[in-house]
Amino acid sequence: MTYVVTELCVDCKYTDCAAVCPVEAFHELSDRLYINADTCIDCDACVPECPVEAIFADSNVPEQWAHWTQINIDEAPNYPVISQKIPALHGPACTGPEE
Amino acid sequence: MAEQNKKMKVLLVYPEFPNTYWSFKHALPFAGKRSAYPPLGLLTLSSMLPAAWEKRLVDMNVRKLRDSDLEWADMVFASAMIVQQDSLREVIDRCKARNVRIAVGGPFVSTGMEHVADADFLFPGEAETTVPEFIRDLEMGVPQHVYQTDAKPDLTKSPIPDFSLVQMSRYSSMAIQYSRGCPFNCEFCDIIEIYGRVPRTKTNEQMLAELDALYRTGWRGPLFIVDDNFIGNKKNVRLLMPSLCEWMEQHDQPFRLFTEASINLADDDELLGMMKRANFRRVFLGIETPVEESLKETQKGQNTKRNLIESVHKIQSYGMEVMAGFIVGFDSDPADIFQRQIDFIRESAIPMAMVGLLSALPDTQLWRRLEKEGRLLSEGAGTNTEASLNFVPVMDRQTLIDGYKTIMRTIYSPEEYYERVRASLKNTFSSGYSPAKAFKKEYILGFFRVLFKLGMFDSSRKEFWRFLRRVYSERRDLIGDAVVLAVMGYHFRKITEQYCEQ
Repeated sequence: MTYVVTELCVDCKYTDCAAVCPVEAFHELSDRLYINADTCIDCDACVPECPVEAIFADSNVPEQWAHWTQINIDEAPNYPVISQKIPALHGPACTGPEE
Repeated sequence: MAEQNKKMKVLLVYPEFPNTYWSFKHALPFAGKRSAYPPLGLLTLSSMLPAAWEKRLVDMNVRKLRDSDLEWADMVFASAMIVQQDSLREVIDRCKARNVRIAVGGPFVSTGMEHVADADFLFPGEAETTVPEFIRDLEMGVPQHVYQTDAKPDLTKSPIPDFSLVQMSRYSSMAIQYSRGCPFNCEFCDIIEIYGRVPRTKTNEQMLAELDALYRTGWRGPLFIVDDNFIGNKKNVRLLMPSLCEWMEQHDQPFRLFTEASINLADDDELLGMMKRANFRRVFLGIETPVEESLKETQKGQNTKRNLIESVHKIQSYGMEVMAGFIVGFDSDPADIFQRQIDFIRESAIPMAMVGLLSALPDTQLWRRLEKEGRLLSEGAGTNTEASLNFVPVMDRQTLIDGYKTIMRTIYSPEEYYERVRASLKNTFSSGYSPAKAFKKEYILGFFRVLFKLGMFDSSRKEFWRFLRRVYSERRDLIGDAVVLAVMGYHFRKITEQYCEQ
């Protein structure tokens, strides 16, 4: 089991989740984050931190984003780890709050 | 002098706890017990010392430390939490007076080493890493004063605790450990400072070997898995649970398990189901407060964005009584916080609610913030009561203390407490642990003690009998649990009376 970042993160890229992750399981792309399934310990710490509620346990991913589980598994290791909070991207497609 | 090949005589000493909510000192005599749990850290340490060394254990919560004990020993090893510091001081002084060398470890040393600097050897942090080095230095005749490391030991190398040192009949429960550390980041917590935020676990094989070892001692009954957060590493816990369930079933459920966990346990039906199957009967949750702003202030994100009462009820529905910690004194606490805590505790049906005043423990994020803000007053006593309110609160100090006492007096009044127990028992699905099995022979005497003390001589005897009658008609399968909780309620009421008179 692992946790999964879904489409809601795209263009928002808040990083509160990465800052609380105890095992540095988040990886950073230009417009989103992914979770590394091998590193994640299923602790839940990231879930309540996300302002747009983009993170789900893989057993609980809404159907329309079900394929994001595999995207996270495949893609996360290809990008650098992020473990600090940085300013959110908050691009035009982001519906979340300003920081 | 080099001590190579010398057969050392080592006395392991566990200092006494003061009489607090956590001591259960008013409850234990009903069961003919002296202490709730054995000192697991010292038992683990014992297994790490050379097999040729002679070891004895004196748990001062079970019996007095005699001068003859100290005269027997070449060296004393003591381990203590902050709350045991007064008793630890006495132990160090007695060792010094008799020229017996003393080594001190445990959480108190980890965050307050300067208070015990006169001990011969100090072990801040987790001693698994440093004890082998100490033994080597000792054998070579060059032991150091302080053995400190920031390294967090790999628990998969941790030995099976030496249960042979324990006089088991003196304890109401045994203890084992699966993990250390907690992934969350609560501002007031010293666990994450000492043990870190990356939960380390033992292997399945280790856990089963420890259960086997305990089973062979003949112990049956309560078993506390003493983890900081049992589900901190859910990935590993999920791997453990099937083996644990199988072991418990193969051995005819010899232990009633209880542990500590974060409230997100409520989100995982699969895990809850396995815990029920493995006979987990109680879980301690850090709920702290129903006030969302206070939770955010204290960085307890895991408790936000959820209906806390529904989460508690969900866990109860899996056969686990919920016990929980609550705190008042956060900067964001509103004026009506005391009534809100009372209402929450009532509605969630948590019989054993450990309510405390916020305390800034040394080396925590809260400590550092308050120090920066110039609000720290002292180090605190670790008791979570008035004596430990060691900072200038935002709320008027006396209002806070009076409000705290109002909570305690209300929730541990007999009517209020018994109502919560009944509600909790109704919510708790029985997991098939029969009353006959729970009520072993040794408990029969305890049962009569309860009937005499609570049913005949206590000022609340009327409420006690009404409670028993109601439970008998509503959930007679859980009457054993009800009697145990009645005794716990008596303990909490006595401690509350003691605090409120201060």
